[in-house]
Amino acid sequence: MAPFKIPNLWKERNPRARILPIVSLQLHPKDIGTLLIGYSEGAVIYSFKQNKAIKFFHYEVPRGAPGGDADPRAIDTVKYPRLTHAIWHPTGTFILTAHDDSSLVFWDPRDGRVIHARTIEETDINIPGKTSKAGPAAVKEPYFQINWCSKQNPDDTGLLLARGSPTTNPTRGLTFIELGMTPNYQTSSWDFLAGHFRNPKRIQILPTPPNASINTFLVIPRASPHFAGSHDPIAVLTSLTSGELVSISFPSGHPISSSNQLHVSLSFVHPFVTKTALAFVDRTRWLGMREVRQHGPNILVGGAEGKYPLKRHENRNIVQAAHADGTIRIWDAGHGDSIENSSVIQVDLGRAVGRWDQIDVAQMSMSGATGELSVGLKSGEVVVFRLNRNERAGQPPIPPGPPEGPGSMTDITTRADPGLKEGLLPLTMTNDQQGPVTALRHSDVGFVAAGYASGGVTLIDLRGPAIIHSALLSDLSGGRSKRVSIRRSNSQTPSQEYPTVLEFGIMTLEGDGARFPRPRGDF
Amino acid sequence: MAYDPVQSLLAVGTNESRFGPGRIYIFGQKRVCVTMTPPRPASIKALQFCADKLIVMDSKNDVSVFSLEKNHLIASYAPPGHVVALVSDPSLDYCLSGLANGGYRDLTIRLPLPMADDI
Repeated sequence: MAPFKIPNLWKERNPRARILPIVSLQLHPKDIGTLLIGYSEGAVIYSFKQNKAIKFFHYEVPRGAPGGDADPRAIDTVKYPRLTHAIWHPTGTFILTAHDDSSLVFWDPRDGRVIHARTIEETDINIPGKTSKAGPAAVKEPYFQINWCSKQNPDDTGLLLARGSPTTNPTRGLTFIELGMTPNYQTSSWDFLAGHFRNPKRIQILPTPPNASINTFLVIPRASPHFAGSHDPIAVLTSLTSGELVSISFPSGHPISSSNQLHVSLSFVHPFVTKTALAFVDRTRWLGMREVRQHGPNILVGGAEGKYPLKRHENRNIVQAAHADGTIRIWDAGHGDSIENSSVIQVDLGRAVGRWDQIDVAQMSMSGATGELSVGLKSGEVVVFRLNRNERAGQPPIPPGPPEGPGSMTDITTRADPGLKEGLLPLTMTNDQQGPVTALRHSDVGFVAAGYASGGVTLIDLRGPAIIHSALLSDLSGGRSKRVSIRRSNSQTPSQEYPTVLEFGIMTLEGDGARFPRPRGDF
Repeated sequence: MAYDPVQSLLAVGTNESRFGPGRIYIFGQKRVCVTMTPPRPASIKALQFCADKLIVMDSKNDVSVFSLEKNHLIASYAPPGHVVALVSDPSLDYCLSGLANGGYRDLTIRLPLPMADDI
């Protein structure tokens, strides 16, 4: 491997500079013989063919001009903000340099002059005398990543930026400055070109969850791997400082679920998993459990599947993973054997319950034979889902009605996602208000048993659906609690015991042949 | 992270943590997944797809080339300095790396990467 070295080109221009790292490199999108090198002081265009630097770009904020951060103390000095990014326009017509005072400077690569300088909110920040519209100088975050994207036509462009907004701004997300069609370089005046950057078509924020800021993002192009991977994007995959991934569709900004788009390993951080449970489902039953949901085109279709042995006579291990965004994803764990049904079924818990915050899943139980799932929340609700066809697919959702009080079941079949045609749909839910659910079991014959932290146990019959039996554990174990209260004569109430495991058993009663479930509590 | 629209693959690099060294995961359709580890335990800093190879830059300053067909490391190169930027193009045979070492700042190009039929 013969290395080819290019010396530090900025030293020709400024021999006194000592610390001068490269901060950015990008090849010209249409000419592989030209390279844009960003040093911390400025940018250089280098040509391989002529083996020398062609143009230098050094950004200077004159006296009296606000600059990117509008610091009133420094307004009377000449400033040279450090460069953080240097990128090409998708057709190579312009160059953008971003600096650590959050200014974006647009240059003409043929001439070397500044066309326009702005931040996300302000324009013309390098013109002396221009006062900034913002009141007190807010500390702005530096840009972490900038992509100059284009639509199908590479002249129709926009800038996608991560961070760069004032830290006081509560909305987090990517900022997309849609510039629109690039004016014809040959026939436009300088002022007209500056106006193109001064007045973008619109500035949009693609939102991400408010608790964490964006670390880096990856633009997923539709077809072309060139143009620095930013041509005609279909989606953006962002990585947050919390370690989570969020996928956003481009340019609408709708969040994309990772269920059947990304590998299951990635869904562990998309967002974080809060609880998992395992169920054993018969192989033929799991082959038939797929969901039909409306979603965008698949972004990952590459690679070839390897051949693994087929386990024909065993039950499949089905994992249910509850995520922090109110969804539960159900998939086949498939360890070392051929996974025949590798699709993921997604359950919209947040939509079924009717709210998006405080959804903490405490317990999950899935019945292998019937394909039903019941979920118990820390807020005391028990929600049951069943595999079904959605009669109301495609119709706009009805706002959820008021829930029934404790002791009765609320019908939530109308709360299914309109984009879901077939899958695990919400069936019924109850809120017994007895505290968080501590034990849950879904039987194979249509009964659900739920145990609460208050010591209560309820039995739900799904044929109604209705609650058929409630009991308090302290009633069932009357003898023991007396012994406890003798020792603790000072306490007001006996210690709370609550169920942790529930199991259904099949029994016969006096030769009757009838079967009924019998919950057993462990303490 | 890196995405190759031609082959429709997604590569994700992880950081070194108390759970283990940094790894590179390459995902394809459905459950297609390949895991690779860099030569020395380190966090992954940058990834680039280049034809049928994957170029990885990690925090210990190694630039490694992995073959996607054979799923293992082809070559590893330790540049004489701290690598700051990496640029390549799917149509190129080489990649450019920008360094930021004290003293002499370099830009290094590595010439044609070993072909797939080289042993």
